[in-house]
Amino acid sequence: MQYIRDIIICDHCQTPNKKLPLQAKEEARCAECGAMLYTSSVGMEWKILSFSFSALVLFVLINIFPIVHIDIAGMEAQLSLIAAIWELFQRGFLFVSFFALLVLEVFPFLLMSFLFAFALFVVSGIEKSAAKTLLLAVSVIRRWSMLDIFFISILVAMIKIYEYAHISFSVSFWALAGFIILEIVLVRIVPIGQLWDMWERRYGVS
Amino acid sequence: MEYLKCLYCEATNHKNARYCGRCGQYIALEAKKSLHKSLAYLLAAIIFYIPANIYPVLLTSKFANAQGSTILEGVVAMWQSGDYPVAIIIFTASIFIPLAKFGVLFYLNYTLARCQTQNIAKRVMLYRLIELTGPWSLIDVFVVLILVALIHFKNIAIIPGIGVSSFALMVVLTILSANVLDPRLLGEECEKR
Repeated sequence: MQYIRDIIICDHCQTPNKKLPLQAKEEARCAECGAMLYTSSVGMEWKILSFSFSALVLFVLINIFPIVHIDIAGMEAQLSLIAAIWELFQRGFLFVSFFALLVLEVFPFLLMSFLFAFALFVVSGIEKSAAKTLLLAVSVIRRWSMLDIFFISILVAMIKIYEYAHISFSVSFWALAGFIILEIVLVRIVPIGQLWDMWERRYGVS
Repeated sequence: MEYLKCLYCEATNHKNARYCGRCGQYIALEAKKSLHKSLAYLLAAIIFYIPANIYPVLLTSKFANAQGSTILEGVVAMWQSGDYPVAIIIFTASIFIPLAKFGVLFYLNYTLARCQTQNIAKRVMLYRLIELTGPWSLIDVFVVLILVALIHFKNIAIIPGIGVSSFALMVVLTILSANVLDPRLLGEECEKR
C-alpha cells in the first residue's frame, strides 16, 4: 500500500505538516507547536558513516581499558564494564546481569555497527533490502542502548564514595563520554524518520 | 485524524493501512490490545515496586557484619551527609519518577478506556515525558553494579541485595508498559479506532 510522502506528523502535538525540501543547514518546525520535525540531510550518510565508526572505536576502548580507578587507604580497585557485569552474574543476580549485558554491551554495539553498515550501503548504493532491514533494527534497538544512563550512574557512584576514596578516571571514562555524545547526535537528536527519508531517496523507492 | 503514523519509520500512512508502506511493519491501531497489554505490564510493575522498596538494594559488610540499605535509606543517608544534589537526583530518579509513571500510565489508560478526548496535547506531552524519563530510573541499578564491582576488599565489601532485582524488573516493566501503549490513540476519537 502507498503511503503519503509529503506529510509528516508532529511527534509532540500529532498535527499533520506538509513536508518541504530543505537547503543545507535548514530545519523544519511544526506549524502548530514549533517542535523540530526534520533537518536538512545533505551529506548525512557521511556523517553517520564517520560518527558510527568513531563510536565503534570508542566502544572497543571502553571494553579494553578500566573506567575508573579507586584507592581507599592503600586498597586499590578498578572498574571495567564487562567485569562488573560478570561480578553480578557470579553472585546469582541473573536478571540484572543479563539485562545489563544487553543494554550496556550488546545493544550499543549492535546499534553502532548496524548504523555503520547502513551508512556504508547507502553511500555505495548497494543492498537496498539489507539496508532496510538494518534501519528497521536500528529503529527498534535505539531505545535500548543505555550507556548514557550508565555514565551518569558512574558519577553518582563516585559521589557516594568520594569522601574516603581517591578516584582517578581512566581512558574508558572519556571514551564513554565520547560514545554518548556520538550516540546522542546519531539517534537521539536526528529523528529516525529522517534516516528512512534518506534511505528512500538514495534507492529511489517509489 | 485521517492519517496513521508508523511507529517504526515515522512514515505517514492512510488511515486504513494495516502494513506500513515504507518499512512493511504491521501498524494498524489496536486500541483494546494496546490498553490491555499496557495495563498488564503496569500492574506487574506495581507489584515489583513493593519488594523493590522493602528489601535492601545493597549491603555494606564491614568486618563480616553486613548492613543492608534500601533505596529510601540510601537517599536519607546521602541527605544527612550533606550530598543534597545527589540525594535529590536519586530521590527523583528512583522514588518520584516510578510513582509518577504509575500515576500517568493509569491516567492515560483510564482516559483512553473512557474515550475522553479533551487535553490531547497535554496527554501527548505526558506520554512523551514518561517515555523519555523512564529508563533513567535505572541509575540506581547501575550504581549498585558499579559499587559491587569496585568495593570488594577483605574488610569492607558492598554486596548486591535482593531489592535490586525487583527494582530493575519494576523499571523494565514500566518501560514496556509505556512502549506498548500506542501514543497514536491519544489523538483519535473513540468510535473511529
